[in-house]
Amino acid sequence: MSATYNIFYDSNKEIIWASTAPVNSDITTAEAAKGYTHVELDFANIPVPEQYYINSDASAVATKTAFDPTFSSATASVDDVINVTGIPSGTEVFLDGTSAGTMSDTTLTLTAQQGGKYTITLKKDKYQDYETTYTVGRYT
Amino acid sequence: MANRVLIGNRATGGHGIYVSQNGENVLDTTNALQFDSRMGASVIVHSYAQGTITANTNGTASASITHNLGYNPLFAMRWNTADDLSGGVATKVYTPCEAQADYTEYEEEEESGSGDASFGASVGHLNTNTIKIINAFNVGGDLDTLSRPVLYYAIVIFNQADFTGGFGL
Repeated sequence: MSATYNIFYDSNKEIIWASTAPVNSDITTAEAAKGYTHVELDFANIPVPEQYYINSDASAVATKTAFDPTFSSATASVDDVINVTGIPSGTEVFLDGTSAGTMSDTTLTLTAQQGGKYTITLKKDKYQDYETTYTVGRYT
Repeated sequence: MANRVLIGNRATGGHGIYVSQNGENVLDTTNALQFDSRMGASVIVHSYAQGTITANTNGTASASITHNLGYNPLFAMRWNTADDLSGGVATKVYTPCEAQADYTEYEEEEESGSGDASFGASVGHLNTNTIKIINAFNVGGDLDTLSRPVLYYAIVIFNQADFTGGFGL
């Protein structure tokens, strides 16, 4: 069963908040002051902001693209070089939550300098956040 | 022995039937009552809603739920995050609550980072026509790169006036 959602989105078309409750002019005015635009759309399921954004003419939602990176190896030893391909240019890469920069091409090259488990996160506008844990073992 | 049953005009609540908890004076206890006829007579759903709130990094992301009743109504709000959804359906929900944590990171006995984070949801009456739900996610220090969680909420608003002091059921 579909429901009508009042959705507020930002200048990047990201869904900021949504509700099946009605909204009045006080709310739309207050949200506009924050830079959020209002649109009313029907959904079969709840509009999941992690998966959707508002399309260019605000007539519907569009599905965020999923990252599909390919790692040159499933795990690595210290001093190994790991190539991660299939990452679109403009992707911001985070290692253990800290930004390591923004990709200018489509291959990420990592050198394993220390053993341990590392969290690799990829973020890009209109993409679903991607996160994986990569293990670097000791010398073999 | 404490007065336990009142049929009449209670100082807090007005006319009705009230039964206090064992040992509590029904006339003036501020603790929860065992029975309150205001519930039995008036738990009629006015409206309900569900939705999402994407966090910002300072704990101020919110949704405004209008009911236009002109008074503060009784409500029940529950929330969760994407981890507790399956096919768009909640598998687990939480009452309004917030948690806070501080952390300090050390490398070779030297402090290398620190930060703090809050997480959860709160709710209250913005005015007599609107209820405000807040995604309480709030980060500081080195945690400001954390992904902003989306809060999923559902709220039921009753015609009954809010006797919970804004906490909700």
